[in-house]
Formats: sequence, C-alpha cells, structure tokens
Amino acid sequence: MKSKLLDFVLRPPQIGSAGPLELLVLQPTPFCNLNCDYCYLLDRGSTSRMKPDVIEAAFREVFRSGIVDQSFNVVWHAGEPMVVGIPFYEEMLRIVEGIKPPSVGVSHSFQTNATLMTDEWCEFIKKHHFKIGVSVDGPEFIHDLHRKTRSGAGTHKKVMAGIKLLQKHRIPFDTISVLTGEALGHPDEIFNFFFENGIRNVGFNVEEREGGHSSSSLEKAGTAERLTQFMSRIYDLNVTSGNRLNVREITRFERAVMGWSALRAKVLRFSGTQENAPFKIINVGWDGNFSTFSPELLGVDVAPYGKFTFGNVLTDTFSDVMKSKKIRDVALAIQNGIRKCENGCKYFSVCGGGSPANKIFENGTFDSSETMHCRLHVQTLAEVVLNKIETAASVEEG
Amino acid sequence: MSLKNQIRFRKMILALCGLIFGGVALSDSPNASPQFVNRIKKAQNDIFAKGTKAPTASEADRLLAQSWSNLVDPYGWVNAWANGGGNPSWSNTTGPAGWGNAWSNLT
Repeated sequence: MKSKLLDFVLRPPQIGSAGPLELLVLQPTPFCNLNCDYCYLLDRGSTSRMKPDVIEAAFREVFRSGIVDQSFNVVWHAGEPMVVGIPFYEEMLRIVEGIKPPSVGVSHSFQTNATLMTDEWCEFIKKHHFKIGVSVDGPEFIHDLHRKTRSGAGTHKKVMAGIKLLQKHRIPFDTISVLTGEALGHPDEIFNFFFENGIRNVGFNVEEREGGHSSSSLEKAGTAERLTQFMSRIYDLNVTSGNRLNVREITRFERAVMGWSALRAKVLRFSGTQENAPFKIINVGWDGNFSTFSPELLGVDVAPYGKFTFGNVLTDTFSDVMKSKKIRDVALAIQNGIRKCENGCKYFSVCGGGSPANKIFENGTFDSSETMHCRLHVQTLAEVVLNKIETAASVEEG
Repeated sequence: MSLKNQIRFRKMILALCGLIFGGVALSDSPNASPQFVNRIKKAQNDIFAKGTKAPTASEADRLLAQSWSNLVDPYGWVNAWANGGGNPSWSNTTGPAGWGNAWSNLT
C-alpha cells in the first residue's frame, strides 16, 4: 500500500502533472486558402474536414474525462478556420450545447488570416462571442513578402479588408506578426502600421524552424542584436505614443517580473507550462487523432516516437492514453529537458522550460534545453524589458 | 478517482512536499543566478515604487503562470506557436484590475 501511494505521488515529477485542460485546439480542416512560405503545416493543401461525429466525440471525451476544471477555451486552428463556412460552426455549437455540463464554461476563438471575413461572419462572431486573432505581419511591403496565395500574389489588401470589417462591427481582435529577418529592419514602419490602422493588441512571433518550415531567416549571426534593436525601438515608439499599443512580448516579461518570487517559481515548476505539461492543451486533428503538448507537433513524424498522436477521440479515452508508454516516454523526455533548462539557464526564472516543439525541431530531442526560439523570444526579449525598466529607474534616480 | 481528482490530489501532495521539504534549499532554482534574481527583484521594486499596485499573492500566481506560458491579457491565452498561427485569443481573462499598463508609470 505504501509503495503504491508513493508511486502515485511520485509519478507526476517524472511525467509532469496533467491538466486541467486550458485549451482545446480543434482543426476544422488542414486546408488554408493562403500559402505563407514560413507555415509549419505540411498538409495545408488538404481539403479534409472534421465531421460532426468527431466534434461530438472530442467534446464528449473532454467533458467525460474530468480533465476540465471550470472552463476551457477552444481555438479553431491548424488550417484557415473560416474556409469551412458558418454552417459548420452552427452545427458544432448545437452539438456542444447538447452535451455540455451546465457548470462548464466553453469559449471559442479563431486564429484567422481574415481574408474570408464578411458581414455575415461578423454577425456570427458577435452573436456567439467568438474571439478573434488575425495574422498580419505589418505594412504591405513586409506582409506580402511571405503571406501569399498559391499563385504567389500578395494577400495584404484582403487581410486589411477583413480587419476593416471587424472594426466596422466593433469586434475586438488582436494580431500576431511573424518577425522575419526582413521585418527586423523596419520597426518604425511596423509600429506606424498598427498605430495608424487602430490595431492596439499586437503580438510578435519570431520565425521558427518547425514542421514543414525547415529553416528560418533568423538563423544568422547578429539576429539577437537586431531583435534587441527592433523591440527597443517598438518600446520607445510606444512610450512616445502614450503606450497606445499593448505589445504582448513587453507585457509578458513585465508580468513575469511583477509576479516573480523564488517560491512561486518553484511551485509553478511542478505544475508546468501549458505546452510542457500533459493535457493542459489537447489538440484534435480533423480526423479525430489527438495529441497534447505543443500543438504544432500534432501528426508530425518525430523520431523516435513516430507520428505524434496519442490516440483518436473516436476510439480512445484520455485516461487510457495517460497510461500509455508513448505519452510517458514523451513526458519523461520533456521533463528531462526542463530540468536541463532549470540547471543551465538563468532565464528559467522567467520562462519555465521552453517549448517542446522548438526543442525537438531544432535539437532533435525533447531532452534538451536551449533553442533559437529561446535565445530570441525569451532571452533577448526578457533582456530588452529588464533593460528598459532599469534605464527608466536610473533616469528617475539620476 | 476521476482523472481531475487524481490530478488535484497529486498537485496538492506535490505542493505540500515542495513546501515541507523545500524550504531554503528550494527557494531558488539550482541555476538561479544571484545577479539575475537580483535584477528581477530590483525591477519589481522599481515598478512598484512608481506607484503601480503590487499584485496580491493569487494575482502574482496568475501573472507568473501566464507569463511562463506566454498567455498575456488582453489576448487571453495567446500562445507563441509557430509563425503567426496558434493565437487563441479572447479577452475575458482580464488581469488584476488597478495596475494596468505599468509602463506608463515608468517612463
């Protein structure tokens, strides 16, 4: 009895604690009407669609498994979610409403390129309180370098038409921009684009190497310095503007500073981040195959694990999957990687162990620590924010 | 025991173990660079000295957890996934009221 209890208690540090579910990523279709050249999705030409029985099975298993605390959020993504049309989501909402326990809160969001936005979509979004994230890289000359149609045409005008519709309907949204090597040279133009177009909530992702995107324009000497200059300039421009933009990367590290304590970090280390603890994120592909951890990993072949899926919502339960050797091997490797971060990286205090997807795509194993993504999106940006705080304080003191 | 309860139980036990056996030894990560930790502590003081309201303990828990997972209001559960994709976004996970944008108090 004692050893069983001990085993029960000691298991989580080996596999990471599980859940509660915070995010359910559902792939309505792998298809995207655009063909951005840095996209990680390998099968974005496939027009397969998630069928109602898969939708029902996914939600039913989420509700049945007990993995939900009070609420969770659904993001429709991993393909352009709007290509499947409004009726798809109307049916989905009917299915979910029919099986959702009254005590559980479910909200929905789209990450979209906004090129298919219409007045009808806006009405639907408002009616059902969907939250919207738009992918736009900045002004046309930067955006159209990479965000193209299959025939190679630019997409900026269509994206902006979608954004204008959202604004006309007073639908709040935020944006994500991919920072490429070219973009780093244009902080003023990028800031002014957002400012002048009334876009206030802005996030910057660095161009990552993962999935179907096997190299990044940021894998060059001097990129960290260029990113430092870029984000410092964005910061200064924002101050000059009266802090009218909410820049996610600045806010993130500001909050890490404000919330940090040694003990808090230690306790949080046990529960893990969203991407590196099992079942905080559940990713379900159009065909019902599901995974957890980083969403970009779903369905990708990653050695030595093979296809990165742990089961199918039509046939498997989360509880059974939790007992499988595959997920334990993955979780153990991820935990070992986090330990390497904890023991070897001073930025662990503001990070928590990095992204499994970046580790395996860049280093070939989850059981590793630093990546280019870490160096740029965590270390460099944390330094920018800390330096800005220190500079402001020294000016004040001086 | 349901999966949710198993998880809760394990977390509770782990947290207790951490608190009981951790103490001073666990107060910093093995690699916690004293210089870096001091920078964070000083930055905290600088922010609060400017009049920004310090978060309560539970707010601080949430701030650090959100930050580690790159989940930042007003975006909600924004995640830094892959190249502009994967930005689940909603705005009803509002942060602690009252401290707003600390940057406006710093500059």
